Amino acid sequence: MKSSKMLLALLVISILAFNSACVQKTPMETASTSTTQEKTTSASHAQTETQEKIVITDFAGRDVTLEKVPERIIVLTGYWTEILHILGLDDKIVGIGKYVPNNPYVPEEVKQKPAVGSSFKGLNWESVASLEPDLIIVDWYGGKYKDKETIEKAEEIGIPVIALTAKSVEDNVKVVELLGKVFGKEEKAEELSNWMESKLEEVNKIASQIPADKKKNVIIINAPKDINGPITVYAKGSAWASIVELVGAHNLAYDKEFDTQWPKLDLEKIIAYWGDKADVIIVTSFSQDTLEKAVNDIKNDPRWREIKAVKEGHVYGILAGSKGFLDWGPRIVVGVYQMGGLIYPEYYPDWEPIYNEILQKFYKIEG
Amino acid sequence: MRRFLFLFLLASPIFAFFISLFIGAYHMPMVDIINMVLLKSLQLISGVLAKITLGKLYFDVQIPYPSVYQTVLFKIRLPRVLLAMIVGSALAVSGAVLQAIFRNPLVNSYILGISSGAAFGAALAIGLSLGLGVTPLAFAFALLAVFLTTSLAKIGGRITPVSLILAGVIVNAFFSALTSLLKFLMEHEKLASVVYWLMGSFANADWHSVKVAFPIIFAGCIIISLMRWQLNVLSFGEEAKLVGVETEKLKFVFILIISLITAASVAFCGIIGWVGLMIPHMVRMAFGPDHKKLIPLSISLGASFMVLADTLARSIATYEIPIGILTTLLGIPFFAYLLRKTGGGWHA
Repeated sequence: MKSSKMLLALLVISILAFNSACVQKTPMETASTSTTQEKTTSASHAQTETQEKIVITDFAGRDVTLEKVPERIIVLTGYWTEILHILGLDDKIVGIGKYVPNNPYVPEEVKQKPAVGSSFKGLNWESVASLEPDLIIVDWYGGKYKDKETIEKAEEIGIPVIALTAKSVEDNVKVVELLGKVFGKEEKAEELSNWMESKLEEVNKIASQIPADKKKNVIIINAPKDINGPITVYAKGSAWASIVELVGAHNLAYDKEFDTQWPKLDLEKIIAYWGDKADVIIVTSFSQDTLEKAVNDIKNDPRWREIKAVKEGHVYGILAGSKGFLDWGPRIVVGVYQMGGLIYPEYYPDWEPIYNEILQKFYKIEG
Repeated sequence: MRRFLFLFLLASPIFAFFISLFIGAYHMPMVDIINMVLLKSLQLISGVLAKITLGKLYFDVQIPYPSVYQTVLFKIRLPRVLLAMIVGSALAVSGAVLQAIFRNPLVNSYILGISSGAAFGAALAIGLSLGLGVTPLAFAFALLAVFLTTSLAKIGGRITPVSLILAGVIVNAFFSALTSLLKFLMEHEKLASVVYWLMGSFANADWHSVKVAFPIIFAGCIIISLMRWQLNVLSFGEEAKLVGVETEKLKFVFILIISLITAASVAFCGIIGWVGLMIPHMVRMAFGPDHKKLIPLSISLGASFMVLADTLARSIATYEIPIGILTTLLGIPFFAYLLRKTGGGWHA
């Protein structure tokens, strides 16, 4: 008897909770009810009284139509948050992804915002709904993780979604331009994208000066848990793999067809494919300790010495993620110079001045 | 004819071993491989001779092949082939033994909680970056899981087939939930390595793993082979007691050995399913349920099957195919054929 009452109470509570989560204002409603914000936003060039719709195509190839400039943003990853910060949109961010606070370039007040989950493992939709966002910025991994699910769910609820990805360095520049367009911050976005373009243009110049006989063959691998393998190689379709080509070297993984942009290979395959060709091995990791250990282990392992690059001592580590520069977002430009410097130390300038420049010009942090 | 087939299957690991040694991504002529293996054997023998005779008998054997050949063959391919063979044996023989002592055709050693325990240990090692290796933690938690399962299953000092399976289900569920929690809390980079580890692979085989796993598994297989007639008695179930056999003690010894060899396998190469179920059944269908033949054949066929499957996994494409997928796909057609033909061979 008692337990059945409890059950009933639980049922009632859960129904109420469910309703409150579902009955949230759709963007359409907010647009029609709040008339105060209408004319204040697009101050830059408002030719007409009415809001212009914003129409874009995102990186998952979806056509997104926004009724007005988004005022309440949820952004799930740190690197895109950096761009929002540079565009001066800190106060419009109402929710963040689980790992955004790990990014040192995200301002403190943004780190304090409620976390709603992550692109990899899905979102807590009740928290999302309670924040009443009018835009969610998600990563697009080709539908491999929970990214596809997240987009579909948001569409179902009626929250606009923009999916971003970077398969090349150039994609990061395009993301900056796209976000500038969405938030009506074209001017600032252009400043940043032009800066990025000009730095990449310089890289192109340097790369074209490297004579054909000095062209180096490179493989990039992820610091393996265990240097016996399986070893993740960055192949065609990965932004980091494309940096090798960008700085004027050849990425050996481009010569083979794989099932993904991150194939896993055992040591025999790596020796068989590239043992006598590889001039340089670049090792990446999100953690400095793992990176140092992996580079050391590889240099000291007699089996790896069958690879030309290891024999000649050209194994270099490069930190990835928000603690380094091999990452998506504007900092990737610094990563390009870093990688260039590792492969061709005699051709590329030091990356540090470029890092300081981006900090002072855009991040407004004294490096 | 049947006798010939029996002997052929018993010797099959030798053929499987050489076939697997000849195939690989790094192309070497077969003649060179045979020469290198012979010369290496001579080198080892002369080394032993020199030790015994205190250096009086010393032959200097040179292997006149490029170092890359020797590295690929002896340091990468050979340990991988050996590890696949011993793990295949361990999984197959464990399945055969458990099916006998619990008189249940559907159990394999993972029912003891070994796989989920090992998975949790691995996830812990990768996720927390304790600096502890994946292998020791996976091994330790696999054994802890077995201990929990058998403690739970022991009712009135006895482990019955039903209580064991239920206890296994409970322990598996418990560790799977913990592993899921860890996965959820983990950063993406680590999550990817956990997921890959769980799929099972021999790609990280080296001499160290062979040196650790081989003695454990070899000893376990020898003891089980020596005790195999006891399995015939145990598979009578309750009637075995009437003959005066200490069934509970025997069961305990068998479970202990199986736990050790399976945990050693899983700790080095992740969770490879299906072999422990399929191989013993195939042997039963072909040769009947007598453990005198069943145990040695499970050991050999487990080794042959696993090493050939792994050879396919590493040479079929430009990248690695997860071995678990292959063991299943290769095994099913043959298994299904035998099932149709013999009706199971369980009560032959």
